[in-house]
Amino acid sequence: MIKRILIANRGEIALRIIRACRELGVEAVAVYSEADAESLHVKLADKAVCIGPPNPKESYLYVPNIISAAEITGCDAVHPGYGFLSENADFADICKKHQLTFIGPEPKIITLMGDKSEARAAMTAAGVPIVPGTAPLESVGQALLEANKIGYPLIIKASGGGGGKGMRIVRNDSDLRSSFEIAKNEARMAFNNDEVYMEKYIEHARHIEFQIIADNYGNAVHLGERDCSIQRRHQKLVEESPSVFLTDELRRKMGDIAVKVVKSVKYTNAGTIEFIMDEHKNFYFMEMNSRIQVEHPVTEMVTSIDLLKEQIMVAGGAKLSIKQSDIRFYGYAIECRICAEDPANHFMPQVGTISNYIPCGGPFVRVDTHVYSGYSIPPHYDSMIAKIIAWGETRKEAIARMRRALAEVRFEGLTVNIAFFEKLLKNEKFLKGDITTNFIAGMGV
Amino acid sequence: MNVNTIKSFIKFIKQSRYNEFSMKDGDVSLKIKFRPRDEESETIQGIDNLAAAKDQRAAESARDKKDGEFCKIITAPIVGRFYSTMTSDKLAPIKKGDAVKKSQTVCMIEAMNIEHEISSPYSGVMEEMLADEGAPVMFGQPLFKIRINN
Repeated sequence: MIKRILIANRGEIALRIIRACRELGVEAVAVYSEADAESLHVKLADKAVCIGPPNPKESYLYVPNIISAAEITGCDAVHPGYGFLSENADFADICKKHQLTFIGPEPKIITLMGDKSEARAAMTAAGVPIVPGTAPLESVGQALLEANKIGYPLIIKASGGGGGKGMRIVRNDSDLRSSFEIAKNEARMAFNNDEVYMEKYIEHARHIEFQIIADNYGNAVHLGERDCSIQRRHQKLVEESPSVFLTDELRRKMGDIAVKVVKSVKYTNAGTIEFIMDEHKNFYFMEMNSRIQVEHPVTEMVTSIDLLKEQIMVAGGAKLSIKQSDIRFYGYAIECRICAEDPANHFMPQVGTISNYIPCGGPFVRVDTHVYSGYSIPPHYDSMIAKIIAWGETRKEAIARMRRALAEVRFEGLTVNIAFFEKLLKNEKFLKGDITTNFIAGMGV
Repeated sequence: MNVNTIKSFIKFIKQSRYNEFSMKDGDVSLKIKFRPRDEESETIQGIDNLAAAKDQRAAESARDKKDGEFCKIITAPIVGRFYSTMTSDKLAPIKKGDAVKKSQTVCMIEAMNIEHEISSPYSGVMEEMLADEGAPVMFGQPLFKIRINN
């Protein structure tokens, strides 16, 4: 069993991991950059080690200081959280070489899932439907030939990418001619790898993902889906579970596929399989995230399963504490990502001090945040400052609770994106559950 | 002498009560040296003072002016374990009152089983060693106070 975990992350996820450690009786060691000395994860951990200057490249991404911090504090495991080094196979491998249990899948699985074209090939081999697409493309000539075989619209994607970078939608030959080199350049700049491929572009798509967890003994379960269609520039803003779009039969089918994928690649620990679904409910594999996700709390709220604790126990060599037949889904949960961004000004990131923080509360509301009154938002990191999650017996009740919670919470001294959620949660189409990944663009915000 | 023979020597010394061993066999000479490890510092208690170190650094950095002299603090540029010597005996520990030149190696920080030489960014006189031998140090932690002569 794991005794002491080094948390290679910051912000709310570092706190979330500390909380799981506390409940399991495991010690938590935080690391922090000079910009985060006053951060809540530093205050609440059993120990904290400063690992570098504010620039993440010299601190949260600087592997030697993180490994060394684990060594000088006698840790036996590392939890990478999300972002930073969470999907870095080399880091997972170095942890292993230094006798540190990496709380996540094996390095070779991270490599496989990180390379989108290899992941697609693995999914095809496992019999999972994938969006019709191409192998990596050498030239615009080859791209044009392939495009006419599959049919427009298509999306150009970077093999080594994510977060919307290097992506271009093309609707005809002339679009493709003008966008191909631009996409390659973007991919080179963002990921140091200019390999691109194309996929059929699904119009009116929904983003549906399945949470899975597997142990080291071949046991795997899925914990249902999350609908993350509400996105802005490929960044999720609202997540809910269950999705109103899925029938019980479809949920069972997709869940079975998710578990089959996990078993076929011998995946271990927590992960998410992302699907894209068209308006006729055809679904295709998009990618697999080999880490805990920002939106994991909505799954925890509808299943009452603590994903972080399961992650730690499974990494420590325990068998999964749950069987698929034990998992019950109850009610609806919705999450809003509160970011220090000004929705009235193109979501411009805001920095400054929260002079007064008044949390929301009351029944069935959860807040995961690392901020407090007097906390200054460092300009070096992500703008997300809190996640508010509301649960209800029905979707309508969950949304009503979320609106109530958003009206209560205060982050004084700083502009945050709450006004955007207030507008969204009143939108007729949203209330009907009629949402797609283009929803926000169509809202005119 | 092959690698396996060396490995068995290392194992033997580790299990013995000795920290150092040297031998000569014809043209081959072998020296094995371990740092004495304080078992207590292997535990989480070993870094109790780490959070406090930042405040100490701020206080120490305040120039303590005296007769045209002031002090500068050499801080840890990496995370690891602090030693005033090297296992190779290349570095003699510097003591209070020793002159220190800019770029001179003043101590060692062991990280990921590698010894990293830490050099002084200043010329002056060593006033105080602020870290304990073999103690874990974090980024930015004060290691030495150097009195700068104007």
